Amino acid sequence: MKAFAEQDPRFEGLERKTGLFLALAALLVIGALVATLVRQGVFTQTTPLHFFANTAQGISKGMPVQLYGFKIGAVDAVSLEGAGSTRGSVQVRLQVENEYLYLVNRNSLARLGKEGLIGASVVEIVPGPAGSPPAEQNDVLKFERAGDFSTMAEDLSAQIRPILADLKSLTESINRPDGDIRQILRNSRQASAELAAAAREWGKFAANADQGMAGVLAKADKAVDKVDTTFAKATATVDRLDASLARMPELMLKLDRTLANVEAASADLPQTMRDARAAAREGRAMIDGAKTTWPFNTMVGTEAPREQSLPLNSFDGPLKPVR
Amino acid sequence: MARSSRFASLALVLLAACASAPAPRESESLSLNRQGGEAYARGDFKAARIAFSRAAQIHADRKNAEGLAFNALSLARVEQAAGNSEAAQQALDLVLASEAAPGLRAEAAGRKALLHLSAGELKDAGDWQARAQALCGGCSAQAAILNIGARIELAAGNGAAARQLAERVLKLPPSDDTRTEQANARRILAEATAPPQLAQPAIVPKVQ
Repeated sequence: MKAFAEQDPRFEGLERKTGLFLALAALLVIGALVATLVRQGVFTQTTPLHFFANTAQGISKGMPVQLYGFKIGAVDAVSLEGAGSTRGSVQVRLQVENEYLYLVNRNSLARLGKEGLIGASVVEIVPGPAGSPPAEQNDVLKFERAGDFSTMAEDLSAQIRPILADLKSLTESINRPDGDIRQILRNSRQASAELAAAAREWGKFAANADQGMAGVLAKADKAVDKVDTTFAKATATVDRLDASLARMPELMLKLDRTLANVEAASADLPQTMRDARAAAREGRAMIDGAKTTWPFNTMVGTEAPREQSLPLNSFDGPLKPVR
Repeated sequence: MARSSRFASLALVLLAACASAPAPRESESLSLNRQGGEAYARGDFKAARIAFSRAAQIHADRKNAEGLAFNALSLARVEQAAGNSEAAQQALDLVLASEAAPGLRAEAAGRKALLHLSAGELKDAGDWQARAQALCGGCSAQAAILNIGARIELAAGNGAAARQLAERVLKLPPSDDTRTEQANARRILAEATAPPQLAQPAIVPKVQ
């Protein structure tokens, strides 16, 4: 080395430099290793928790454990139980960081789900009701498997399948020449044609109605003219009536005089009536006497005279005797 | 011979005339009934009372209910006209107690109603009027009895009921029996329609 150093000054202190380089490299390697271990959580204090599943499908070691979307641990081990009451089930061990353990209680639920629709699978811790005791080391949590994409696809498929079947039968019905759909379409086409014809008829009818209305209006105009004429005549009549009424006082005066004459003439009537009534009474007495006297009673042949009562009058009452 | 045959014929005629004449008692009651009517028409209530009483007595002796009713009714009218309500009631009681026709007893009940109405005894008047109406049916005094009812209603202040009865009278077929009463019905209608301050007591008909 010395010879090289003598020949080339760059080789001076080469051993020291090499040792320094190796030491630095070793430090880097160690630092990287420590960083990896820290990242792996080797130095993080965790508490093991367990849950049992029917199948290990979708569960793998190292799968993150989340709480409210934060990673608080990881799946530590997945093993198949061979004995005890949990025989035949899959035991999953979780390692939950101690700093978050107080958020997990014994009634918490471990649910296998996905981050997003098609993301990575995670175990999500759903805390139990408030007041439940906090989880402790090796506690067993309840487990459920959330519906993943395939399950959702199966559900969707199950729901869509009958719809597709209906669509298929509908399409077949549409394609069938004697099917209901074709029949409806034919009927609709026919109805449309008839509607068009009806619309044309209505158009003709409306045109005729317009002509008829014009005729009626012309007649109405004539009638109004006649009414005007009649009103004019009535006005003239009323004028004449006014003139006649103007003569009414004169007529009334004449009528009054006539009535006075009638009154004067009738003043003699009561006496005449009384005389006539007396004459009639006497005549009746004579006839009655003759009728009851032979030989007239045999000739007349009327019923025998009967006694009578004085007639009942609704205003009968005490009277003043004449004498 | 001729004279003797003429005398014989005259005797035969006289005999026949005597044979066809009414029985003396019957003729007497008929004559008395007529005399009573004439006396009443003259306003001679005393003579009318005597004539109707004697005629009624004759029929009572002969147990002729109808003849008794005719004359007792007339006697009641005379006593009513003379202002002797008590005597009129007694005469009417004779008719009502007799076996005379319902029409005659209806007239008696109607006149009793009038007597009570004149005395202001409206309840008794109404009772007798109702009895008269029930006895009468379609008798010749129907219109008078309805009008009496109308007058009673009017006196009781039931103008509407009075109008209703008077209008019934106006709807009866006109005849000698109803003509006077239809005029009376119009008087009642006028009285029932007139305002109270204008209403005048009904005019009392005067005997001619």
